[in-house]
Amino acid sequence: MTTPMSLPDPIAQGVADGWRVLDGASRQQDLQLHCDVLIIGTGAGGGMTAEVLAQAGLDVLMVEEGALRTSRDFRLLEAKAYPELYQEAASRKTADKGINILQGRTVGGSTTVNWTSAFRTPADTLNWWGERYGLHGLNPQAMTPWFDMAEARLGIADWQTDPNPNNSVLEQGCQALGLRHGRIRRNVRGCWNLGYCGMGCATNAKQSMLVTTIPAALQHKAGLLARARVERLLPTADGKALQGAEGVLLAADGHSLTGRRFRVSAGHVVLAAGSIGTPAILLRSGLADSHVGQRTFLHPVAICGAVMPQRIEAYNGAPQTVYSDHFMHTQPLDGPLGYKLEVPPVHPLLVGVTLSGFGQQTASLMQQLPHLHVMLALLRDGFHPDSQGGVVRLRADGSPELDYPLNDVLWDGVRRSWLTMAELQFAAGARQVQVIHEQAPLLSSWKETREMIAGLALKPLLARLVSAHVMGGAAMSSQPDSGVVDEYGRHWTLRNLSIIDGSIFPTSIGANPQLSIYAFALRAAHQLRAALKA
Amino acid sequence: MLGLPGLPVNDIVRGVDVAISNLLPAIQQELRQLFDLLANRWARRWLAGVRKPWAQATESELTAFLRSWQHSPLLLLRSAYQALHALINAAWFGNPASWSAMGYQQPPQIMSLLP
Repeated sequence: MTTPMSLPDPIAQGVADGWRVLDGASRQQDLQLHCDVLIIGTGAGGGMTAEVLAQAGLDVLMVEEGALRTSRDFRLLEAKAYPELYQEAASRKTADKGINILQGRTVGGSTTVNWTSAFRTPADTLNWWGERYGLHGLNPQAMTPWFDMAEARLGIADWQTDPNPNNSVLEQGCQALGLRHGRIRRNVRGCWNLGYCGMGCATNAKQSMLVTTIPAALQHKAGLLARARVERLLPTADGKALQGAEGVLLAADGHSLTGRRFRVSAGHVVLAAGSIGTPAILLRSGLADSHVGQRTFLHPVAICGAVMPQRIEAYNGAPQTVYSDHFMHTQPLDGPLGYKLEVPPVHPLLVGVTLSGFGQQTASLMQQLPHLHVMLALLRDGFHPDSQGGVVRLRADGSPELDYPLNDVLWDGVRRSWLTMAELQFAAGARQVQVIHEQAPLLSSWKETREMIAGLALKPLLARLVSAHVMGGAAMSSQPDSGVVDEYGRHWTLRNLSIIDGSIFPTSIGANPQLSIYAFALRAAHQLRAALKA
Repeated sequence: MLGLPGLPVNDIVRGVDVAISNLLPAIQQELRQLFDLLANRWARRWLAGVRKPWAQATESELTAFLRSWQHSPLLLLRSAYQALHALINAAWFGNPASWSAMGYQQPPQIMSLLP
């Protein structure tokens, strides 16, 4: 086999060959467009829906706020990737700035930048939705064919390569302490095991929407309008349906307005702008009932760092391949918050802004970057009666903001997860451990660390919390008055509006959500296709 | 803030400017208020506890200022500290000039194949 001189970029090639792709930044005039189905957002929900509907011969138009960036733009460079591919340059925050949110903003949405972890929706989550919310049609057995279909479409399979050393620390710690753990399945084909998934996949191995369903939809004559922000949905005169949507075209910097507008008239509208984005559009349109924006969940993540005696190079290799759900099952689902353990890729910019402290202390830790191991605990929010998530609201300029108050039940989970992570890291041979909290020192023994954690103040912006999983905010329900849409994403009052994205989940998922969104989107899109073709 | 001697300060300042330019207008406005506040000599003296103009402040004065905001009982001051921390660290650690001291490099097997 010979080494290629350069990497192929099939998406750029497709555009060059005449796919119907418009860039809002380059339009000299206002745009008026028509289609059968307008899909707002091109992430996990919008991407899946676009392929299903376009293959059925429907005239589909996708509108995306972010730009179309393809593999030739992905240079394994954080300083380029974060502003180009993420909401608010990867620094989106909750209203009190207590939680930093990583969320995609590019064609493909978060699937273009996620870390390729694929879990089916846990059975206890689906069963809870049946018992608690009357969503009995979504039981694990009924959902199985949709998970199968999504996995087949996106190459989701066991990852055969050994975990990288960062993941091995989690595995070894679990083995030493006798905690249940497993390997993570991934949505990749021909993965080079580089570890830069979060900056966009330069080799097109990651089976994101960008390289799978979106090009398939474009191949079936769907259209794509990028750098176009939907401001509002346009209701019909009787207020019972939508005519379409309108918005503004964004300049090449991705943020400034060009002064040009667009308007799309559509037979059916699919809102797939993600949690935060979808509720924001409904709020801006004056079409939000009392449920819209409520119960938005984050899987808030607590973090613990460790200096290992051996080189870890947590920036190299598939980022997430080992997990532990041990502490998801040690208490009732609606009891003290359970947490999932994973590890993140550790690249200089992101770790530099995430580590606590400043000055010499940070400098000496950063100089040990190749030995740095980082562990994450993702807290399962939305099940405990006091875990109600956050609320999406609009700023004066119409941009959305998530107010996610941090309360006792969450902090209790944070402290327990710090104890678990530190104990695991020492059990795996860590030389030193540092909870990511402004008052936590780097310590060399588990005993000292345990005592220190017991005394840490539980306050926002002392404890570092992050999130990469935004869910809920436009929940599905079994009855019209208890949610925004039904179990197929059909809006309870606007007859030609569907919501097909992560915002329909009535609680958090309790696992990395991409595969849940894919499966629910496929289910909703097939129902919609049948209805529109009837 | 970074605790390292001999850094290319102008490059870092430029990196901070670029980082700010990529934020939402609403967030840029908040940062504008923060920098206006820090530039006000009364605020510098009473909120930051730094007597001399910023360019003449000693390392220990700056450390005391950062530490007091980092641990402040007021959420607003803690968030101001975090904003400075994130901007400066992003500007430096996102700059390839910072990488060799950390022993970090991008995977060589692919870099030569990129456009």
